Amino acid sequence: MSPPGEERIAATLSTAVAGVLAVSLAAVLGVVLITLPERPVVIAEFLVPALHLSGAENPVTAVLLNFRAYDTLMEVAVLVAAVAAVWAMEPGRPVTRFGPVRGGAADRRVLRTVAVERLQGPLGTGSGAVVSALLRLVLPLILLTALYLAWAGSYLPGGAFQAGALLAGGAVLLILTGRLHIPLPPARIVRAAVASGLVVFLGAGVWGLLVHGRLLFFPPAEASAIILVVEAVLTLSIAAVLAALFAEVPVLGERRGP
Amino acid sequence: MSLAAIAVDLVTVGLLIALAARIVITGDFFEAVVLLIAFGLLMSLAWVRLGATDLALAEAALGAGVTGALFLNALRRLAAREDLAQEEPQPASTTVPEAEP
Repeated sequence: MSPPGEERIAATLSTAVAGVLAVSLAAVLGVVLITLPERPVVIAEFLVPALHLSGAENPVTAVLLNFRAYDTLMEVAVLVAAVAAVWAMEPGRPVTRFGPVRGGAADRRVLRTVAVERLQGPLGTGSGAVVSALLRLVLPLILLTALYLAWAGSYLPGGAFQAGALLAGGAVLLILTGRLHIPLPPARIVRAAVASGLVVFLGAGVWGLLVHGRLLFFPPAEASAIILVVEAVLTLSIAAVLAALFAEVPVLGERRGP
Repeated sequence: MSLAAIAVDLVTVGLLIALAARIVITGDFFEAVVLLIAFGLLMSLAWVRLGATDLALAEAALGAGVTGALFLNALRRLAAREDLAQEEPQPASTTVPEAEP
């Protein structure tokens, strides 16, 4: 144990070091940004003439789901991996079949409290008439907007990620008001929904490899249909992924007050 | 670019920087999360001004919506854990209860 004075000096010193590092990083980034050669964006020159080959009229969708489909595939894989990590972090709840995950005493008690809170029934904010009326109004709008975004993605800004996030937002509303609960370990259908986007996307890519000899190659004649299918499955899958991050989340307003 | 557009952009950038600074500086997690949601919404406005509508949609839905909800949920769990930690039986040696920060 060091005397309090020494500790204060150490704290000040570490703050100063962090400050100097942060300022130098900002300075370096600033210099790089200013000295960057002014190059015109050349992507458009390649993209626009090739747009009719992509199967999508929206250049962003063409890049995301055809020309750079590999990146999007990896993004979806990262999302699925993130969900697996979140599920595994859930204290005391095993995701694997290799036996129970050991959590501390505090972890187990958090879980029990959560369970008791849920058993106490509709006492929280989720049961109010206002919330019910609001949900009845908002959820159909969310569904409609998500459907539009997913559909419009092929020729307007929008697409699977935006539509999926919107759907997930609706699911989160249901979860926080106690109308939907995703228990852990996750049910088969939840796992299937989370994995479906990656599986279908990868399947389309492998199909390109088998038939045309190139991974994730979508021939122009079929690209439009492939993108439509992949985008539709991705929308649902991304919604499932984002909603699955809220597994085992207690209902809003049911926290024990003092 | 009209004067009004420049003014809107300057206000947006200024607010974004101010929000970002406040989020980093504040010691209150709840305030930081709420401001982060505001930052996400403002950022999506900035994306619209830059002509990146796709990003704006994703930012509003993911950056402001889902991330904000996730952070708030994490805060709720942290608070629940602290409540439990306080309930833990204190060792006999510590008779003086510690002051709440």
